[in-house]
Amino acid sequence: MTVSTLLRRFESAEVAMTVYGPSEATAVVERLANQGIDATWRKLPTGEQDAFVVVRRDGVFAGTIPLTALQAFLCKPTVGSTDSGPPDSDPSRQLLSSALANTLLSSLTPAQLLATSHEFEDRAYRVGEGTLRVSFQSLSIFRSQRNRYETLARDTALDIHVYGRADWEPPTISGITFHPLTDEALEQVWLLAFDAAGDDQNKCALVAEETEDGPFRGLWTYNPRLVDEIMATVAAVDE
Amino acid sequence: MNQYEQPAETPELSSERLDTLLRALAAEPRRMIYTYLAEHDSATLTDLTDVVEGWTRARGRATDADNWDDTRTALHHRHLPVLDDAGIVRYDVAQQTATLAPLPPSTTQVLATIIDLEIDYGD
Repeated sequence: MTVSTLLRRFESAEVAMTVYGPSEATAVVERLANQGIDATWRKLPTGEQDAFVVVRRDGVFAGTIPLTALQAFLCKPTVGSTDSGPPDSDPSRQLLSSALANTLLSSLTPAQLLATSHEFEDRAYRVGEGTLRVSFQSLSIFRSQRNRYETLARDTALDIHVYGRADWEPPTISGITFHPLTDEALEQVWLLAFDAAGDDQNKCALVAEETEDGPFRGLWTYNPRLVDEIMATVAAVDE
Repeated sequence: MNQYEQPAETPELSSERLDTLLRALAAEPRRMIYTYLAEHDSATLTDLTDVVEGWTRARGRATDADNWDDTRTALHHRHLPVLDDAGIVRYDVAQQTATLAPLPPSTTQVLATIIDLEIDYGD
């Protein structure tokens, strides 16, 4: 199975958001629609601070959050930019993160993907063991992340595997195995998967594919079965 | 408005009627329902539950014990029947849909004043 077929399975995932608030709230509805999310605005004289969003998954009420939390989330979908930062504890962000997990988003920017990658790397750092597989499209992109990964490899017992097109000769770093890609299966793909040494509570993965017109389409997931599947897909690439 | 421009077409409300309206809007969820219906005319019980649940949380009034199913039950068994009895809303129990009742201008005026007070000063 390739990453593309994996992503295609999530095209029909049903997340719907209804935004209640004054007309200023319509901008966020457009942004959601750009991500391929079913979003509706219903006028309500709440005042901007009290505007809110109702999230439904497969038609079932999943939760409600302040509109301001959704706006912040769309700018930066995950928190955790520091290695020692606490896990994401804000309930609104948790709801959005879990509501949008397993949902194919059609317009992700590199900044959003990087933020999510960092959150998952932080999680791997905290767990401290297990296998982490990362694909940065080209190995040369790894250069900008080198310090983070040297810290990850030095401070933990993680088994780290980095994939990418062979456009750069990587250094030898204990704990990190580089996999120069010879076929094109992963070249359009930004991917990170962590098996948390078998602990289902901490498994996570991010898969995104670069589209022809620029942005990435992809998803992140905490579903352990899906993470296992993604791990296996990546591991099979250079077998 | 001067004393010669009193709205002759808006008869005053009886004190009994005023009591009924004030009682009907004496609970926050019922004011939320009325506000939503004043904007959208009709809604399903599910939509109104979303509105009350979401708005209550947005105003910071919800507790962890509150949940969607309890809110829905409270709307279905208490709040919507109270609004229906007051003649403000028509609640179709079988279809679980609520529709704004046709209201005389005097009633609309009283209700709008109460709602405006809350939106302007309630938080």
